[in-house]
Amino acid sequence: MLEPFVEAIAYMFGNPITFLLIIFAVIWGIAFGSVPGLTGIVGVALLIPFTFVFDPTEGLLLLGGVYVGSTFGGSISAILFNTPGSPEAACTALDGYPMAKRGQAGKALGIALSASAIGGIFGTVVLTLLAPPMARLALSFGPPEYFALAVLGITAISGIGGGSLLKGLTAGLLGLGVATVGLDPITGMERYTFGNLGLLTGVSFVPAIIGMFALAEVLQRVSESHRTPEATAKVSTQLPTLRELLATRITLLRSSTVGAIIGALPGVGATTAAFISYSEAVRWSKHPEAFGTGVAEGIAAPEAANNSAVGGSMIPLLALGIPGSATTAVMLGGLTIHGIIPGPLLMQQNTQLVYSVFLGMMLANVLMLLFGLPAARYFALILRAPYALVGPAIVVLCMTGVYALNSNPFDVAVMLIMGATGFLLRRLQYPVASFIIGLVLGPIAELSLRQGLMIVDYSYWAFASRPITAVLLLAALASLVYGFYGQYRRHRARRTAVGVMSIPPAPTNGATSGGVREGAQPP
Amino acid sequence: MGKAIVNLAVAGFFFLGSIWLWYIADGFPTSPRYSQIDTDYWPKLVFALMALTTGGQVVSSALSLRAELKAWNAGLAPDTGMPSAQSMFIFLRVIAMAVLIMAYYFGFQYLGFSIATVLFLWLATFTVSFRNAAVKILFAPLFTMALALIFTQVLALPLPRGVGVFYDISLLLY
Repeated sequence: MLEPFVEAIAYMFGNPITFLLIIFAVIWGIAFGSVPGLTGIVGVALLIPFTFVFDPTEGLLLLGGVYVGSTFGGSISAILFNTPGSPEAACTALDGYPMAKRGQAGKALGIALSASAIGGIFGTVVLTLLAPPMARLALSFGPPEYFALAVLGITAISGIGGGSLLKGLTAGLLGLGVATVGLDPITGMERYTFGNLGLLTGVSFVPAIIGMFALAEVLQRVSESHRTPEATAKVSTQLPTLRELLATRITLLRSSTVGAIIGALPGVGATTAAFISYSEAVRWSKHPEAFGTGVAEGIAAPEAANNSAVGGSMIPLLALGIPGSATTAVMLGGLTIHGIIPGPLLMQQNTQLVYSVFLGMMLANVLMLLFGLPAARYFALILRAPYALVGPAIVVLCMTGVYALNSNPFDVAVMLIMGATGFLLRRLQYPVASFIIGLVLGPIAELSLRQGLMIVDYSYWAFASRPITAVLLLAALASLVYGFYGQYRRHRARRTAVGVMSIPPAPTNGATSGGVREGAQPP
Repeated sequence: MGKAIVNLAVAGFFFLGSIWLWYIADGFPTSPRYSQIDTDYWPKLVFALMALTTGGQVVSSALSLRAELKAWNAGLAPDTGMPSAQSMFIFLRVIAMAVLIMAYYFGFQYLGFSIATVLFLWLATFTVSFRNAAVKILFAPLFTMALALIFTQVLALPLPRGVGVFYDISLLLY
């Protein structure tokens, strides 16, 4: 157990650049996380081409540091402007903003920062403890189990999200479909290349994710009409006292545990963890009525959970090679350009890389505490940067980053097409995360299914009835049922609300009422 | 109602597209050795499932549209009116940005990184409203220089140099 850690420590001290990279990554992550619309995924995606010049461990440390920093960064704008920088910080605004409005913005930021660091360290410890045994278990997995895991990944992210299940599944299947372009992995025949030589190797993953997330985000922002919020520059972050911290210890422990567990589940990410932790904090509180007015626990609970979920979400990526969230799917892209295939064999054969990541993420959380404390006021100023400069600069970074991968304009064209597709999918409310998970898991799912069927002599029953496969496929089915049920409940709630709204109240002063919302059913 | 029509059109497009791609897969070359899991096996499976989900969406969008039409006929639907001048402005802004990005893509290859980037940044800052003219003018060359420096000197990554005279100019710059 300790030997790989010693190896990783020796590596990191032998390469002091790793510390600089982690510091840079945390700052970059906080900056991207704090600006609404940029988000951590964009921060990770834009850095992938730059990891090309580093060795794989340094590259992964860079991406991991951004992931850690960005998860906290979202809380800065949530607290100061009531505008979450990233979806996982939405819950933080519920109590953070009222506290800031009371003139305690510094205190709110301090609570968010310390809770983020505690949650992040907890999540990394869970990752360190659980990933190795899970990888050992995964060594016994065959192609049918991997196919079932991939199916679970796609159905879970489509089913558990809040939107339309059919749209989520369609986006996931579209990702799987795009992944079929290129040469067949078994027969070597061409598929959907339409005579284009550039498509023989398939749709390159890194240009696709940069287009889908970064470029599409710029177009999305251009299509919105909102102003840059007025920034409160006079903020001095104050860490909570030990007494205040101890008062929230149960909330921190519960939220960190919830975050790590939920983060490890495929498809359920930091946002869900934050909301569940917040509602649990309300449920267990002696003063639930105070939540929403600016209480410390209301900030600590979601922040500890969403940062703990970062470590949790790395478990399936490193141990099984299956990304459970959009950000880890993007990180998988960063690994593949170095020729690294995450999974149980990576844990066995490249312990130095894996344990360096564990240590690096731990360090990133500590550094976040150190840098976040004096720098929060400056990160608040980033929000004042006009999008007229930031947006075009991101387009330039997308273009140059993708071009630098292979000096190939075709990759840039792929990125542009994917950017336009991502923008349209967002406008039409198709979840882009499902598409990316489909794109990443497509080759794994296909190869596993076809190899698995060969192993069991083409018997579908023998394929699906292996114990672990059956459990995973049933879980996939359950996530679909859950998704349909959730959609049905939302539909019913909407109809009830419309029914209530369409009952005209007694007219007063001759005024009429009867606002019928779009989609209302006639009586 | 416009949203329901768009939803129906998009779902229909995906539905027809998945059927078309299924038929293309049906024409893939076959390999007798892998006849049960041939080249077309996985694409057909994926696009058949996609036809199923998008078919479901077509039905659900058509039902929504029918309900909205009924509400509209009964005079219960809100009057959405014509698109506002602001939404037209935003639409034009997105189109302008998309055209600029495409122009940048071609300029990137023919003019080289430096010239194409400065031009793109200057034009793009005019597309998204921002009043500070001095910052607008200074930002483009400064950002381009900084990025060129990072790519070529720090990271040793290639940047496009353009063709002809632009290639020679880029040699002077980086």
